Amino acid sequence: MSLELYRRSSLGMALTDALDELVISGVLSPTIAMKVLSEFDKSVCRSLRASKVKASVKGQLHTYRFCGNVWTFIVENAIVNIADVDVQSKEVRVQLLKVVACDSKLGDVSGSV
Amino acid sequence: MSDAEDEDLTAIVEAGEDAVDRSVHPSGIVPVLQNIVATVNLDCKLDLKTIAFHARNVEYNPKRFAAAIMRIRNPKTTALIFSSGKMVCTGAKTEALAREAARKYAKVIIKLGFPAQFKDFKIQNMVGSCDVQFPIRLEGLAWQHGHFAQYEPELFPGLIYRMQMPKIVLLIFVSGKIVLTGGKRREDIYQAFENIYPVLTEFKKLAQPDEAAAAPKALPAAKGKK
Amino acid sequence: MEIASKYQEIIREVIKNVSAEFTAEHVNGEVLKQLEKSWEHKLLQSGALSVNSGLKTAPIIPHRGDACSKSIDEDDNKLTTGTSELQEVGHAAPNPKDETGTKRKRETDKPAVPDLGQDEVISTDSEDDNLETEPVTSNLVLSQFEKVGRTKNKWKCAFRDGVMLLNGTEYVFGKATAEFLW
Repeated sequence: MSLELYRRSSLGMALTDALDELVISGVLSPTIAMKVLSEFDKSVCRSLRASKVKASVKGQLHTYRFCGNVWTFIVENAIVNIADVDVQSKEVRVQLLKVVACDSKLGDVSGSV
Repeated sequence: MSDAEDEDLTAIVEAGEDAVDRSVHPSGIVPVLQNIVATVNLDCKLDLKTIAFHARNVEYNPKRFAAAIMRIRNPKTTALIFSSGKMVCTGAKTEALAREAARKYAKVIIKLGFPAQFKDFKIQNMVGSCDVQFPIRLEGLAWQHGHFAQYEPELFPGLIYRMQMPKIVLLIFVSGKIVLTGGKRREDIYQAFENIYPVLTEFKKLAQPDEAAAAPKALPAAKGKK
Repeated sequence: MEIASKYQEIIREVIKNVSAEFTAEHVNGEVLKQLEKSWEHKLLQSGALSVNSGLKTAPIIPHRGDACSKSIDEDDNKLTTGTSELQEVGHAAPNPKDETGTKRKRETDKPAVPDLGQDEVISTDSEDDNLETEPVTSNLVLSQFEKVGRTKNKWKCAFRDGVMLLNGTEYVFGKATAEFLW
């Protein structure tokens, strides 16, 4: 069990695209492609858990939603601060930001795999 | 959950003297409505998950609470929407706003494809508040009105007064701030306040002599003064 | 930023962990190499790594819009767990017959259009009925919540294990806090 959430990251999308091509051209079975994706889910979760980067987000909440144990926030005029250890923190401003967050308790289950 | 506790219940009535209708408000003080709880029956079964997925500003966590909680900004209110089609709307400041808000929620649900009606809209509770602007001797009041009053400062700092006619519960604080709840009509809130006002003046805390007699250490007196 | 090396690590790890599976399924060893190369290439093409990143297997073409051109809709809420839900997450399933799969492929193949103006301005009265379609943005945070709390219109959240795509660049975080005014 692992969160599939991160498949929507650039890294996950790149993998999905690469797999799509191989499946469409017939060199890879959909089953094995799924296996690669679930392996990706595990790796990305582990890797993020080890990250020392701290971030903060501020902004106006346009919309919130909690359903199916997932929070979704649409934030206007968001200011995101990203602070890496030993690196000067970086501020990024975006007009609109969507936050999708699964329950961390579900992530814990996968963490123990 | 209840937005009653969310609201600022300490608003001070600042209506100009001449604006107050003394025939309704002999005290000259008009309690301000802070929260209205209304119910309506949408009279159709609702799939709350669909509502939570497709409408905005909704929380639905069936493990913790059976209703979907939706909020709108205008009128600033919260709705609890149950799968039975029953809806509770809280947070509105007037009866008209409560109705307007309930209609807006119903509209959202209709737009999502549910055959919602708007049946039996009813105000279930009103909360008002005001400030008599003098401190009150709660012990004395509780003593003399023991039948209606309950004052246990170790449990709750206010005196709870259960008035029978009209049937309104009043929270009376030493500061002179009053919260009135349990009414279905604003007239009842007003009447309850007019009923209690003479009692409050009777138990007005007199600054010096009273205090000096009661307790040599004058410290607690400062608390109630404003 | 650590992101490029972090991603490189993930790519290596995944490729390593599936190699036995590939062998067992008698997939030509070249296919795995091809997958790794293609994955890295597409990641670089997405432009999501900052330009001075460590990945150097292909020239860096900053395509701002690429990784974010698909619209994001309610299936957010289906992104829970378990392989049983794989089918539901349509665009994540590499099914050749899957229409969304081929559609997205087309999108990524065409030259990227700068999407700086993609954010829509929200009309003030649209919020009234809580129904208007949500504004679409490519700026996305994928994360896990530890705590979400509200007092009146002030929201405070604690997140962890996040990936953020902001103005076309990807970042990761271990922990994050958020403060929103509704």
